[in-house]
Order: sequence, then C-alpha cells, then structure tokens
Amino acid sequence: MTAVAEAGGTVLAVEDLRVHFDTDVGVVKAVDGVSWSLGSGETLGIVGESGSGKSVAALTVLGLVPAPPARFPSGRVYFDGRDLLAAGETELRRVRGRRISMIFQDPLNSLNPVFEVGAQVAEAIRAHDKVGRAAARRRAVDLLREVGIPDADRRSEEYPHQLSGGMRQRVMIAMALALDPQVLLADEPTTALDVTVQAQIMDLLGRLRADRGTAMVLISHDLGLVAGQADRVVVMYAGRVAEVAPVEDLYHRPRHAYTLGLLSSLAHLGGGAGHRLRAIPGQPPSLLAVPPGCPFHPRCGFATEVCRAEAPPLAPKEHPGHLAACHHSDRVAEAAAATLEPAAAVYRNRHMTTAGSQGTPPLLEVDGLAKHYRVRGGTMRAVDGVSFTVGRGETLALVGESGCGKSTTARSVLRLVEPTSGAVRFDGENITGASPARLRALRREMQMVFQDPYASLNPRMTVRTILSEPFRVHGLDPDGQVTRLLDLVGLGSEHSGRYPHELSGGERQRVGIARAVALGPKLVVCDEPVSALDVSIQAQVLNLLANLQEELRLAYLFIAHDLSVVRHIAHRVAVMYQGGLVELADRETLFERPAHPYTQALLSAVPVPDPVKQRARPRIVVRGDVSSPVDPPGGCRFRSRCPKFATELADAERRRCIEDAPALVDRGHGHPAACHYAEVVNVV
Amino acid sequence: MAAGGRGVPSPEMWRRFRRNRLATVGLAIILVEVAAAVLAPVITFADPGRVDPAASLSSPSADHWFGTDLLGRDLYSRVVYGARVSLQVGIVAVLIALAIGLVAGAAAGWFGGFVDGLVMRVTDVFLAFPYVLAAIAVITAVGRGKTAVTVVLGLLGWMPIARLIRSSVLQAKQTDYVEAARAVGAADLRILVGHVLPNAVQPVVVFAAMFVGTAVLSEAALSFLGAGITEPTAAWGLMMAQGKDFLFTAPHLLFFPGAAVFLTVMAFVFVGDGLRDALDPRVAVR
Repeated sequence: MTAVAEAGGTVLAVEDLRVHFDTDVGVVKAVDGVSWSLGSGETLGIVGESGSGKSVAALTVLGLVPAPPARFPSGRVYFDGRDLLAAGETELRRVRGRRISMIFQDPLNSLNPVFEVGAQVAEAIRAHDKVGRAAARRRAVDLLREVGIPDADRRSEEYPHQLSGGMRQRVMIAMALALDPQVLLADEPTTALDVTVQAQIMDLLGRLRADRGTAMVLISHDLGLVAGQADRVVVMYAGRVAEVAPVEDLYHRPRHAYTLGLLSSLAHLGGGAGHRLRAIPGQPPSLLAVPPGCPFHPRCGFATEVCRAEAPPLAPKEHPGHLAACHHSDRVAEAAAATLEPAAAVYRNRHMTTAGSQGTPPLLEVDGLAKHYRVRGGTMRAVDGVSFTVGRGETLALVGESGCGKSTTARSVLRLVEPTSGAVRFDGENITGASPARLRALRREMQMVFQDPYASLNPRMTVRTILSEPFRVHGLDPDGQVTRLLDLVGLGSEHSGRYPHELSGGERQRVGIARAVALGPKLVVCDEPVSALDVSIQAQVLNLLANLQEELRLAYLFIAHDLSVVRHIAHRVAVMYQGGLVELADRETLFERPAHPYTQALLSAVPVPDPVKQRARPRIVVRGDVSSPVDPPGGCRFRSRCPKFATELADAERRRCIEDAPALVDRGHGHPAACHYAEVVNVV
Repeated sequence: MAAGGRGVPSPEMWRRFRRNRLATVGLAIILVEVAAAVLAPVITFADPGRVDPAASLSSPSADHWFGTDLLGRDLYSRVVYGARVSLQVGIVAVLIALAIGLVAGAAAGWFGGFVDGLVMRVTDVFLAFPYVLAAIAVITAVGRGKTAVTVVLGLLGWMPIARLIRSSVLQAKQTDYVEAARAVGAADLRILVGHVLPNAVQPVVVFAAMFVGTAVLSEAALSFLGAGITEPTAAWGLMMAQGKDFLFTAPHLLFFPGAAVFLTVMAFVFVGDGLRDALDPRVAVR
C-alpha cells in the first residue's frame, strides 16, 4: 500500500481528491486536490466556511456524493487496504455504518419520521449483523441508555418528533456507534443544537470514543468547538487545503494567511471588547471561478505578485506535521506572534458608561412584559414578566437558548407581536396602547434587523425597491437615498439593481441593515443578525453595526445566542431562561463575575478558540433539556437543570427553590441575578 | 395577467421565458391559433356553414384540405372558425375563475379565522359537485350556447385557484420580509399588494395557463355530450361529437378537431411552465 498508510496507525487517508460538479453554468470544483489522513483513535478537525468543500470530501469517503453530476478527476480514499473511491456499491455498503459511520447536522432530517427511534437503531444493527428482531431491539435500547437517553425502554418507542434536538442527536450517535465502527465522520454534529446541549453531546462523544477507540473526523465551521476537540486540524479554503497542523500549532502558530485571518476575525469570549474585529475583506470565491494562483490572494493582506501567479504547494513548516500552502508563511508567523498573544492587550471599553446616558432617562423601558399563547393543554408562557431598559446609543444584549423567549420579547417591544401584559415605554411614551396610526409613525424611530438575510428580503424586489420602501411608506421622497444608504453600509450603487438572490449572505445582511437605518431610527432591534453568516463575514457585519452605532448614535437591542459575539458588541447583557431574565449586568461583570448558575453554565459551554485554554477551563454542566414552557411548575424554573440544585444544595435549601421563584434582585454581587443562592464564579 | 415583481413585465422576464424552449414553442402555437381565429375569413376558402350534400364525408383532398363532414361542410374552415369559439371560451372562463379565485383565496389567507372557514367551506361545496353533471344541470336551466358554457366553466373552475392562492398567502404572510415591511410601518393593503400577492401569485399564473387548456378540453367534452355549443356554430368539441359516429368510415372527422384540441392544451401547458420560470427572478438568465 502507500506511504501514508504505512506511516503508522493511519486508518483512513484521502489523497489528492478532486470532486467536480458539472452544472448548467460551468464546472464547480468543490474539492480540488485535497489530502488528509486520520490516525487510529485520533480526532481530525476539518474547518472551513460554507463552500470550502469540507463536507463534500467527507461524503465522498462513503460514496455518498451522487455521480453524476459529480466527477472524480483524481484521488484515492484508502481504508483498510482498499481504495473506496474505486469500490463498488456492494463493497461500500459493507463499510458504511459498520466500519465508517456518519453523523449529520440535522437529526430531524436524518431520522425517519414514521418509525420509532428504537426500531431505527435496531434496523441499523440488522443491516449488518444477522441478529433477530428482538435481540436487535434489546441492543438498541442498551445503546440508547448508553448515549444518555433517560428511560430508554419507553423512549425507544417514541417517534423522532417527540424527542428534543439533543435527544435526536443522541439517537443518531447511538445508531452511528451501534456496530463499533473504526471511524466516525461527524459533519457539524452540534450546529443545530443549543450551546449547553452541544457541550453535553461533545462530552458524550468523547466518552464513547475513548471507550471504543474510535477515530473521528469532526467537520465544523466553529473554530472554538474544534479547538477543544481535535488533535490535528485541517483548514480548507475554496476546495483546497490551506493548512494542516497539530491543534496547538494551528491556533497559536498559524502559517497560512487565511488561518491567521480567521483567528483574528473571531469574536471570542476571552477576547476584549470595544475594539473593531479584524475582518477579512471580501467574500470566499465562487467555486465556479476560483482565482488563479493562491485562491486566497484577493482577500489577503500579505499577497504579492507570486501569490497571483503561482498556487503555493502544501509545504512542511518548522514543526513536524505542520503543513501550509502559503508563499508568505514567514510574514504570517511574525504577524501571528504580534497579534495572537491572548489577553496581551487590555482593551479599554469604548463607552461603557455611555456619555450622557447617566442623567437622561432611558430610550426604552420595558416593564413586566409578558406574552402568553394559548396552546393545546394549557398556556405557553413564552415571555413571562421581563423588565429592562436600553439607554440612548447603548447596546443591550438579550441572550439565551432557543425557545427562551428572546425573539418574542424583541418583537413585543416593536409590537410586531401584541404583548399579553406589561408596558413598553419608548422615549417616555407608553406604546403598548398606541393607535395603529401612531404606531406606524413610531416605526420611523424603531427598526429591526432580521436573522436570515435571505428570508427578510422580498425575493421579487430589487435592492433599490427594498430600500425605497421605507420612504414611500412614510410619504417621503426616496430620491438619492438609496445611494446614500448603500454607501453607508459599504455597498456600491451597482448593487441597487440586483435581486436578493444575486447577493452573497453578507451583502444581503448589509441591505437588511440599510433598510433598518433608512429612516434614521433611534433604536434598532437586531435579532441574531450574524448567526446565519460565515465567520469571516460575521466580523464585517459586526464592525458595520458598531460603526453605525457611533455614526448615527443608535441604541441596539441585540438578540443573540452566541456569547462570544455578545461579549464583543454589548454594553450590558441580560440573560434569559424560559421567559424570564435570570441575570442582568454590564458586560465585563457578566463575563467575569457571573452569579447565576445558568449564566455560568452558558459561559462554560461556549468553546474558546484556544486549545490550551479551552481544555483547562472549569466545566459547569447543566443536565437535560429545557422543560416545556406550557404551564411550568412554580418555583425556580431552572432548577430541573441546575447543577447547583442537583449537587450542592441541601434538601432544606432546595425547598426554597421549589416553592419560591427567585426575583431578579441584587444579592450583594453588585448586579441582579434571579437565584436564591447566587454566587460569583469565574468560568471564562 | 398579473405579473410578478412590480407588476411590469421586464426584459429579464422575457429572457427567462425564452430559455424554456418548449414554452416558446407553445407560445408560437397559441399565437398561430389566435392569428388563425382572427383572420379566419381571409385564410379559409369556404363558408364553414355552407352545406354541400354532394360532397358529404369526402376525404382530405386539394379542394377540402381536411375533408368534409356529413353535410358536406368544409372541415378545414370549420376547424379554423372553431378556434374562435374554443379559445374564447377557454380564456374567458379562466379569467372568470381567476377573478373569483383570487379574491376568495386572498381573503381567506389574509384574514384567516371566520372568513377563511367560510370561504373554504364554500370551496368544498363547489368541489363536491361533479364537474360535468353540474355544468349540464346549469346549462339545461339557462340554455345552451357559448356564453353559458363559458360562465359555467368559470364558475366551476375557481376553487383550485382559491386554494392555491390561500396557501401561498398563508405562506408569504409568515415570512420575515412581510414582518420587515410591517416593522417599516407599511399598512396592510400595501403589504398584501406589494409583498404577499406578488409572491403568492406565481403558482396561480402557471395553473391558470394550464387551466386554459383544461377549459378547452371541458368545452369539447360538454359539446361532445351535447350540453355545450349548439349547431350550426363550429366548435371543436361539437365537431368531435358529430364525428364519433364515423370513427371507422371517416376518421378525419375526429382527427382534425381532436388534433386542434390536443395542440392547444399542450401549448398552454408549455406556456404555463415557461411563465413559472419567467416570474421567478431566481431563475438564472444566461
């Protein structure tokens, strides 16, 4: 066999793989000359932005890329002494699931909705092992128990839609590990999950793999997640490998300009705030027209003539096992040493005590806001008595996991959703009772930026029409405004005639932001404005939002689940759990001295893109999933998942959590937290 | 027909339409038929009503390109004149169905609740009527003729359109861009007309184009059953009905009007397909 396979303990190797798709508009070179190898028991991280080819390469390993339209102009996939790329369907079927198995991003789509989950796991076993139906079912239940599904006997008879996202992913893991494969391909296994559930799943995967000695390829866009998990990391860009290195080398001593760019553009927990992120300019290239030479050169600050002319080979760097495809590794090394020193620079807060916001009344006051929905079987308390203020020119971040009510709160503030009770005062005026006409007038002052920049732009309108609409609605003249707005958000007038689908994700979000600031509002509600964007684009959009805030003196109500982003952009942070606020503090306090166990768990679950720090951090793990917000029991809502309640408190102390819902008050920590036993712990 | 976007057909729409070859062919067929219908007196040689017992049931020849019927009438003339009736019935019936369906469906989807329930129940009642039977019943009451056929086809054809519009409106109502428009301060009517309907109308336009074909076919079926167009008007369905008795002795009596119906239905289906492309700005234009 080959040199790679002999190099010691390699179980899977991809060599010079090319996957090209013939389409109407040309050849898409999704994977273009990629090599990597996986040692036995090793975790190989593959990171890259959307369209970098990271998933296609893994799917090709199992022959799951339909050909045609795909072609494989070159490449080999070595596994167990065979070339899987040349193997027939029968041979591949014997490998799939049994020797190499896969976990996908969306566990709802990968489970069959009309079969019980236990039956599906049993089916996976029976596809390869000749065991009886009953025996397979027993093994399935054992597996479900092993992946931490409580009451596995009963749950195995449930259907996928009856399980939470985290539970479904556990089922997928049970299925994937049912036959003790040697290799596990995990394609964004936790991207669809909340961060506390992500932490649980990654822990589970780590434990199961250690028991079984399974090697794993972890494909992810999340540099933080990979930092904590991988032994070695492959960075992909435009269908090629940019850099391969042991995890610490990669994060601390990158030798490719793109890797350095990615790392320095990240908003992260440990990082300071109040500065602009170093965004990589431009966008990843279309795979139809990858630039000649080094594909990264149009966006690269180090690029010279040679980068434009010659594609750099993947060459070894000073440490063993470290390869990078960059002509200017030396200069990248110098720059990395200067910029990546963690916590070296102490950033001063931009305007933490926002000038003028002390004496004047707040711009937005939310008081006891509630939104209840009548659902089958009771009342869903989506938002249940939330109070906060936002000052002029200030950013208040509202963070929490999916379903905690943060988006409903945001929409209630704008009265896009009618609140059930509570008051919203904007600029001193109570708008909860405002007439429709008054409300329309108020819309000029308060605007919204949406999460999904594609869904929030009418696909049948050009950018010009979209940006003129706010003016037309309010009887104003849109003449000249479109150009001004495009310029404000960093787009050119050439964009005005385009339709949303002709723009990239980042450009679309800029249009969404331009629409929001068109009428000169005082408050902009941002609902997860960067979570649908690639890492390098996130930084651009965050910087734009920060610039606009300074220029236009905007106040932001910033809804987010990503605490790293929040740390970067917010002045104050409110943490939400099941319809209520659990902690409210200014940014530094919240991140450094969190007092509520939920805030601590949330912070602890967010991976930091630094392998050394990430692996050394204290872990505060919450159990289980969020319980149903329909007619919740009294007392503290977090107690069913609370690590403190479970392990630290005495029975007598627990009584109080069960009987008495804790109010959001300052218990001597300098800021309010809704926990009877609040106690400051530093987890970052 | 209501177009997408800002309601004005653009050069890009035409380019997207043209990319669909079959649609272009379909459009050409329809244009030829319309031209034939308009220019019928110029391009035919005989009066479609002129009876010539001597030439009864003659086969296609240089004198009579499509042959003649039992009464010796020139079949070519009758097929060409028939286009006038059939196309008119088909298109007007669809316009009637569109008018009712659009209003009913948009109201149901937009207002929801009681209005939705009411409209959908009425729709169910109309759907439960056997199409042909209901048509026959109505025509028997109102009297036969072109107008009656048109109205009946329109009145019995709006339900699928209403359902399509309703579901598209429901879907569009949920989107972020509608919420964004509301956040900007747009009034309901503006949102409905500017954002919801343009995004909801596309499947309907496609359906309507195909429905013209179905209506032509239904007219043929009704006439075939004797509940449609009356003698001596030349209409394709009626001609086929009369030709059925001579299926083996004079097959041309069935073939030519049948081919005309077939071509027309097919052309409208192709055009419907092309319209789908034309109305979607996401379809790439090369």
